[in-house]
Amino acid sequence: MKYLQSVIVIYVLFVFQQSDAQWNKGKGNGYYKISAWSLVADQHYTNIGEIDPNATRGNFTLSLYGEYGVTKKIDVITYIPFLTRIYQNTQVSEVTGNVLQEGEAVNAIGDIDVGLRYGLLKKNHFALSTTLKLGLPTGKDKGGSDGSFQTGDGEFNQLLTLDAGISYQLFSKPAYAKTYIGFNNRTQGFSDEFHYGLESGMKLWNKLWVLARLNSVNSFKNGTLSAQNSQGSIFANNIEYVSVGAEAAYYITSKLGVSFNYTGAISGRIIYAKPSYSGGLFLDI
Amino acid sequence: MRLLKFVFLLFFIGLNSCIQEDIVNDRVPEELRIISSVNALKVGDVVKLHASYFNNIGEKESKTVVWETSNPTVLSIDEFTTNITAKAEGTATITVKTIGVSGELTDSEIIMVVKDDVVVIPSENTKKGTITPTESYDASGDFEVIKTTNGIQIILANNYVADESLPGFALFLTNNPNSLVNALQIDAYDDADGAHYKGAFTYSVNGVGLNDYQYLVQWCRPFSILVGKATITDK
Repeated sequence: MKYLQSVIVIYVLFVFQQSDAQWNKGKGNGYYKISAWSLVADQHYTNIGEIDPNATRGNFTLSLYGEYGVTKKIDVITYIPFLTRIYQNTQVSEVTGNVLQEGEAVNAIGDIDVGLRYGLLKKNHFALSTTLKLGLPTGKDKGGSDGSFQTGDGEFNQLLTLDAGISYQLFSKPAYAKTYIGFNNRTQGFSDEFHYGLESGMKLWNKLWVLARLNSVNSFKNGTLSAQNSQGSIFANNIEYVSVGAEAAYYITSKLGVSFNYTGAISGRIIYAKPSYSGGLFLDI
Repeated sequence: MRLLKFVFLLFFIGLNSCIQEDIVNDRVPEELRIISSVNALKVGDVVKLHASYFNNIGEKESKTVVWETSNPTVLSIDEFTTNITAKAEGTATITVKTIGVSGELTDSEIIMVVKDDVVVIPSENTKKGTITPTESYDASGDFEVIKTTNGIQIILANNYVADESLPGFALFLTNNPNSLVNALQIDAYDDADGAHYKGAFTYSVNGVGLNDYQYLVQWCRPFSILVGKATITDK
């Protein structure tokens, strides 16, 4: 029974897109998800961590996420943001109602991630794995009238993570906890990054899982790219944040389900200071 | 089929990520400003002073104005041409008036009249200001604005600072610090020579009068953020 519960935990872990799962899919198994993600922000964290206002900007992304077990220990992973829409609201005079600055939007593909996960250890309820994700510069690193409507950062990065997870019982319900640390090697003058995260979830009812997640990105500030030479790009180099989020996943059938996510940065530098929302439809086969 | 519907639903949500409107409070006080910078005349000189009316968003608007002199024996005003004639040695205050939305608006200029063989040294051809931050980004420093043959020069002092982490930095002369409409860009990150961020520097701006603009402002242009502001005043 405990084994079965562990399997369920492992099974459900793959529901959560980009959640840095520690358990491999297993040969021939796959997990696929189509998602919509939205962030609308009229304020941002400055380079010193203060919150300042900005013209309202939005980022809407439609994406496909997939994992497939090519062997018992190796999964291939891909994230394809096939439509990313970056937009800014029209600025209108309160006094006259006239347009002060026209709104603008750019629609394009975003940066695609491809990667491999390798299972290092699996013992009882504990699993250890490592993941290498390659960030491909498929998005537009300059867009719109001033170049700041970007759907990608224009650089090729490599994120290597070490992931550990454990499954257990919480109030007689299946639960899990996992953590990861990672190093993101960035190119084109961007600073390298240290990543870490924590996640914990439990099965509330027969078909519903809920989880909480904390992620952190910390810049080594060793890049040469600055605001002066990045041509108006605000959310590019030396981004730092600690974000917390909650997610719910509901199984409609044994293989098909929906998930909803709410995430916000509780501190940060050079990043929007508003929460994001996402919803998705997943298939676990 | 259900999956297809879901995909269409996502696209529908995406299409609803539409450009909406941000309402910007761009109200500024109305102002009537003498644009001509004349502070001394020789007996016999005839000049025409110019004044501009700026409405409550800092836009120049045509307005009927009335000129008055505090001492007609020193400076007289022609009722029809509004020419000002220096008639005798002394000092007089020239006042311009108009009726704005908020009531009567005035501006004054004290003009000294000297003998026609005295060399007049213009003292009001220099203005000054100090930039202060309006957000948490660095923005500070003193500057002077001087009149030149072709326009003005903005001379930044050694203590001038613009935040180097600011994306899309740009410097403007404007009559409304809350809006870039009708503002004149002086410097920007996407200039051919880039932007100046720290220390002394001089900008030459041709075709601009000393009294044409009231503010020097630092903006993060792509994200419409006012980060630093200075009111330009007489030195």
